[in-house]
Amino acid sequence: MEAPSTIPAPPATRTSPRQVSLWAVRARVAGVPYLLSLPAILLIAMLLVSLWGLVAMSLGADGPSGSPTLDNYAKAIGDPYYRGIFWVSLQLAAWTTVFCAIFGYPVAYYMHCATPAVRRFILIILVVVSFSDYVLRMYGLILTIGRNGLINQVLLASGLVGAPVKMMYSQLGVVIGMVMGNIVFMILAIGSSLERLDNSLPSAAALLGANRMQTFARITLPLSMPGVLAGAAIVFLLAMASYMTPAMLGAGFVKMIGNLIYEQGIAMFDMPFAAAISMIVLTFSIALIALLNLVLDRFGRRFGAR
Amino acid sequence: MTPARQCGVSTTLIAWTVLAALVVPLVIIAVLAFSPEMALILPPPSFSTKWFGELLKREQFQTGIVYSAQLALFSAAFGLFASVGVAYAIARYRFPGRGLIHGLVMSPLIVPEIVTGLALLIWFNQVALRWTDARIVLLHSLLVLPFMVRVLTASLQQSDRNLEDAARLLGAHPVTAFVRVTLPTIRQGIAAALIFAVVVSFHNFTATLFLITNKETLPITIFGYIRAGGSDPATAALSTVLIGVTSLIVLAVDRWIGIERVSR
Amino acid sequence: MKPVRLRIEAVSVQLGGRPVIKDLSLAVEPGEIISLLGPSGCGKTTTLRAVAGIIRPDSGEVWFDARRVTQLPSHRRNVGMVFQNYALFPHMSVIENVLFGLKMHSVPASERKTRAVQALEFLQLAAFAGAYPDELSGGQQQRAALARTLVVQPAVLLLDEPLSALDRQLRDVMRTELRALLKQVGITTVIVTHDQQEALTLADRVAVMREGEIEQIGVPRDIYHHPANRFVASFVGQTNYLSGRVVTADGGVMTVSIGGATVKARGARPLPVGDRVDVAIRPETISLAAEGAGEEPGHNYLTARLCREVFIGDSIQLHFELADRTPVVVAAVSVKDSAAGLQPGLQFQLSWPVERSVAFAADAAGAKPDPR
Repeated sequence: MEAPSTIPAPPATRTSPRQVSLWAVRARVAGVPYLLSLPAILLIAMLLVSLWGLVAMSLGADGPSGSPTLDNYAKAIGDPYYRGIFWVSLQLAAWTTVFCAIFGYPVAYYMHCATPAVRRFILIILVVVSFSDYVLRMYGLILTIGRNGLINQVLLASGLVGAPVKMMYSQLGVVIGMVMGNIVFMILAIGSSLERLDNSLPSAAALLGANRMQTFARITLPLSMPGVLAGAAIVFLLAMASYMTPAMLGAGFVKMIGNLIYEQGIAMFDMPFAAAISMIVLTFSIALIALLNLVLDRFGRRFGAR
Repeated sequence: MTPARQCGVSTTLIAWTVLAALVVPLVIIAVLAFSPEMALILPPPSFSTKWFGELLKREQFQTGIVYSAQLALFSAAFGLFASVGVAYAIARYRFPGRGLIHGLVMSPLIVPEIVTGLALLIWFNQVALRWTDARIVLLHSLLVLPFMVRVLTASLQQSDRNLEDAARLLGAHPVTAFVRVTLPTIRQGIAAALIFAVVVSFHNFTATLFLITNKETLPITIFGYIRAGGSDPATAALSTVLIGVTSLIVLAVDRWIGIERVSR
Repeated sequence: MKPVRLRIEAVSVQLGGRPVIKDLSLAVEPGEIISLLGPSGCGKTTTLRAVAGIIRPDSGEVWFDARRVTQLPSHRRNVGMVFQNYALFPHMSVIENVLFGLKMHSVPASERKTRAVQALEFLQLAAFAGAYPDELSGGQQQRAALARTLVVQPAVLLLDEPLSALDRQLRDVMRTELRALLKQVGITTVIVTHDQQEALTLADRVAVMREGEIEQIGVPRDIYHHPANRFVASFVGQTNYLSGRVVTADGGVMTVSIGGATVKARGARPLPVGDRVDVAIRPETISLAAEGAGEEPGHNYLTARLCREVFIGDSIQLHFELADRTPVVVAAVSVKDSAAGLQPGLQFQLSWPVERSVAFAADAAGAKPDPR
């Protein structure tokens, strides 16, 4: 029988410190990105594991041990008191989102048309504001809309009202607070989608006979919708799960989900219940983001997104 | 010469009104801080820095500042450590799971802070990690991770990958090539990411609230003071200092890096 | 619509402190297609924008027939423009894009639909009415943009680099199609381009621009064969420049000594004896003959040594050197010219008709470094 033909052995390579055999390089390169991502993945794993623990906790009657039960969820959804808090949170978040959009769009649009110097100036203001401690901003807001605040002092002094207008300790105050606190995100989201707008499009519209209003309504606004929607999603989620604003500006008169979770979890130490509420909030949050992506996918074309 | 796009008068007015509305609360704090009165009286009768003097007597504030600053530095450092690697992997490599990893890294953005805070509290108790400082650093690193990764990937994508390849072809070990060629080009991105992380960590309130034990971070201390009612303008003085420092940082960042880098 | 006469009168525009258009005047006859040709930065796109109303000139006027439109905003000028990237509205389908202008001009709904469909049929896009811009090919997008612009019957049509976004083969086809279409519609048109082939093919007249001014304006043949100065000669087509000195100036035709020999050339402007000049000849006007072959009247003759052949594909470039080492490039358009016998190192006789060459002063208009 013939000897099977042998594959000639590769020529012996003289390995210097820099030369490595092909396989080792391949193996190393293949693993590198995973290795690099490891610390970040571990952090995320920590988050995911803890969220899983949260689910487990929410299904337990008293601590994670014990047979799983949906009692906590039943309580959260069934009890009208708690349902009411959910409902209030959704409502206030909705109002916040609407006002952020209404007041934020002009700012973003103005930045879009402004000279680069003005735009930079406004951007600096926005960054300084958003970098400032949220507590501080709410404190300043209290000084502005409070009973003895700036607005009331001006109104009283000018004789426009006879008694201080009540803005704080009410849903109105909380909404004002949340709008002020979150409008920057809306502005930036809209701003970035306006920036991506092809400049020849408004010019083309004008040449086809559209005046400024028509160009804005039919071209600029629809094409900036993805930014508005993204901003709306961000603001809604931030507002809905807000703790500090209702705590400071609502001070017990307005209770939102965030306050409820803290109260149940830390003050009342009813962890499972707090966990259940949290899971409901989280589910809602994920659902909203998924909905946003869905809308952009299906109707993206109408907005010029692809 | 007129540009094609212009803003109407109404748009301009609304825009500046909104911006003013954002700024006024911060300015009012300063007004209170510099007036000698306990309550806000407008117009302030005189200029006084006595509350700033009071500030120095408030030990709580001082410990709060120190604690927050320490946490911020460690969180930013750890956050950077975690984000540099994954940002580099995402920006420079094509590998299976790249999209998934990117999504995972961005996922903290979807989880509301309260939920994160509660979840971590429960988990830290379960794994018996009692060291509060570590807890908070881990929390903050997690919170800043998406932002830092985003800034760094953008920075890396803008820097020329050919430079690094050229260095390697000239004989440099990959790590050397990264450190000596790529790192300098993403300097600004790293600085922006760090500053962002420090600021976010320093100011974080909601999630941190769940994890603190005896030592308080500054925002929580201030919160407590304000909630307690009773006007203490030393708080206003502290706030003014913080706002002043923030403004300086932002202006410095703009000078050195350009403000666009830091805003998403 | 009756085609209008477009008149640009002494228009100047400054952008960012720099003058971009300097005192430019141009008249386009009704129904004429004119092309603004020039390198980037020469002001051609800015001129287009001034006519469109996207920018307002700092001084000067723009007239459509007797209507002064200089200060009118774009949407009141009735000007049509096809942008370089077509600027089709991405969130609207093709037919919605076409309907847009009609809606803005308050055309009644029933008429709108008919006209839109007609426009699409005219540009052979009827099948794509419901498609979105990102689903169309480059050529289709251009036709959609044209349909949208033409359906509102503008007084003047502006095209910004109409063919630059298309790939090579499509460009060649579209060039002839586009001109045919424009002539059929009969609208006064201004085309901006940096591609001289585009300009020469599409336009009735070409205006060569540089640094905000028109260097020369004329029919394509004139621009090509009788460039007014060095810049135009270099920008449009390829040119050889042979340096020499004016020996005699006799009316329009001068005798120039190049190396040891003399040639005759017509000057772009009259030039005095003794001046240094460059005689410009296009590579394709030069003929070869064996050294010492007979001479005909009206032709110039120079001896040169063949250095090398360069194969371009549809033609062959022959690189020669004169006695004083001046390079001369001759384009042999048909391959058979490069028969055996063309060996590097041999001397040949180059000849060209006197009328086909132009002499420019050696450091004249075109004193700026020529774009070769």
